Amino acid sequence: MSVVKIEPSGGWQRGWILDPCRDAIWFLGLPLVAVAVAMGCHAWLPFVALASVNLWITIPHHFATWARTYGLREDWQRWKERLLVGPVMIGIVAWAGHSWAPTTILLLVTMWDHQHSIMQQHGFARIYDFKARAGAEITGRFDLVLGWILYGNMFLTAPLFVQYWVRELFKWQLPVSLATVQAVQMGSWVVTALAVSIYVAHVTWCLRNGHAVNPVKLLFLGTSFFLWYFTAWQTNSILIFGIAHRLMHGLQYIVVVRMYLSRKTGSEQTDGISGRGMASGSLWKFVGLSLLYALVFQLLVGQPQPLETFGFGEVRFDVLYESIPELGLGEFTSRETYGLFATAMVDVVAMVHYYFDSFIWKVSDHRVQEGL
Amino acid sequence: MQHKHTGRWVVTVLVGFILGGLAYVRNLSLFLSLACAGGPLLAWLWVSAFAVEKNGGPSWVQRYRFLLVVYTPVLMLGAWELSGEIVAEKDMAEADMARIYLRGTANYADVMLGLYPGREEYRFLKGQQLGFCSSLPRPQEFMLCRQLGPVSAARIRQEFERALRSGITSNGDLLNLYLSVLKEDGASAEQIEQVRRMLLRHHPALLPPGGE
Repeated sequence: MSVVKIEPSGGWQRGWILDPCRDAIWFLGLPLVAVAVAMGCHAWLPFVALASVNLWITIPHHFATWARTYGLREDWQRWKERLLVGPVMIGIVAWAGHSWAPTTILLLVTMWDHQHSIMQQHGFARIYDFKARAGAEITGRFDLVLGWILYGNMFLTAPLFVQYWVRELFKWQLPVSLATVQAVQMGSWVVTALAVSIYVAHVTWCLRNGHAVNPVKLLFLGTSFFLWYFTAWQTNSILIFGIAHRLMHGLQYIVVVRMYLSRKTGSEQTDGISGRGMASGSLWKFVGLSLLYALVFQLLVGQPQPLETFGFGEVRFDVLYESIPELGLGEFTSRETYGLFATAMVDVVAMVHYYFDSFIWKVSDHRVQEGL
Repeated sequence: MQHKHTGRWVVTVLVGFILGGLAYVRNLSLFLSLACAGGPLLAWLWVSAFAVEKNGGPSWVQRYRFLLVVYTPVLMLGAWELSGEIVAEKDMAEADMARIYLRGTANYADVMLGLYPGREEYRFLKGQQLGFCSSLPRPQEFMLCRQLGPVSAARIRQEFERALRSGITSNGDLLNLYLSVLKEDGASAEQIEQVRRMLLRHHPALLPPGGE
């Protein structure tokens, strides 16, 4: 597929990842809908609904990574070594961490997840600029720094996150006083205000110096950060934050991978399992395979109540599960067994997904651009 | 060229081995001993990972430098944890956990309540703080407990109920502790059953044995 070259013309210039209609649904409207869905889950569903969203959205979005990396012949040939060695290295660290330093490995997975979330939205912002042929050479840096500062500020000031890091500091015998935390938060707000001002100045500079600015990108970043800030500030529920965030993160990722695979299969040299099996027109096959993967994954690792999360906590499979020990499945209730499964599967799978995403989505890479 | 490369590897590992051995002999902490043993190798990896790429493309260290960046702080923190400085919450003794909540005026519960005084959901931290003063064998060791005086189950229950009125459902520990406090405070069977159902609905895995 050839990339259409559009000369930059300055001023406001719209560009879309898919098209105006689908972008309005998946990239601009979805964060708002996700917040509403999360609030609904909080009002009407039990807390285990969060695990259900993980099952039905997050796990399939991991599958999308595997479909691209292991399924597309081009990606497989480009990164074969890293696709094989990376999971082994990550698996060894996860195993060692769970055995000897569980707090560290928990912190690693949590912080890497945050980094991964910031970088995904940054990556989509890059696609928006690429599609609109917008921004100066340095605009990507401005987007990145602003994204990190905004997210960092949320992490340092929103009660949902503050309760975790303040608690960790106390646990590590690094007690902080109220005045210290307040000073840190004040500093964070000052830095954020400065960063936003500088970003606005950069956008103004772009407009005055003949560099196009994509308003859709700004709207996209605005709705993404609205989701994070609103859920982290207005609620204390990790359920609301988790559901809203995972809906946005997972669904947007699946949409982009699906688009990438479709466009790549339209190019000359791309083939492979995904290339053939998930080509344009087989959307339901893609969705079906993703959900099948989620089901198998959950059956493998979803101990101690493997079936609970299928029904958002409303359909009580555990009643049936209670009778299973008579069939010799009582051992599955052991939390120790769950810990081992979690080590091997949940953390490793998530970290391998984060790692692969760190090198397969370079928008500056011409071969990646062909799929966008 | 290959020999030179291998030679550097061997020297780096040997230096680490000697430094680690010296640290062990000098009876330094496990964290410092591990830092001495692994430090030279880590430093060498960083230098190699960020060196200028050669004509043949990136070296293997350069190909994996993202993982190196991710894992370096993990190695340091992991060594610190391994030396016993950080203890996983599930392994913490009750007294250690209590210190987080009872440490003078700068404790977890009071810092959070001071930061967000209007957020009722954090009253459960005050409930936990009071709970520690009530359940520890020697609460008078903590100045805060001495200041608070005798703590009744009703007082703890009051704090938990303020938190629960904010609609919080994500905190399984809160519901579990509330259940215990209700029993201790002599709540009616109906009230206990209501909370038990709530716990079963939101956190079925946290329900105490025989709780259903």
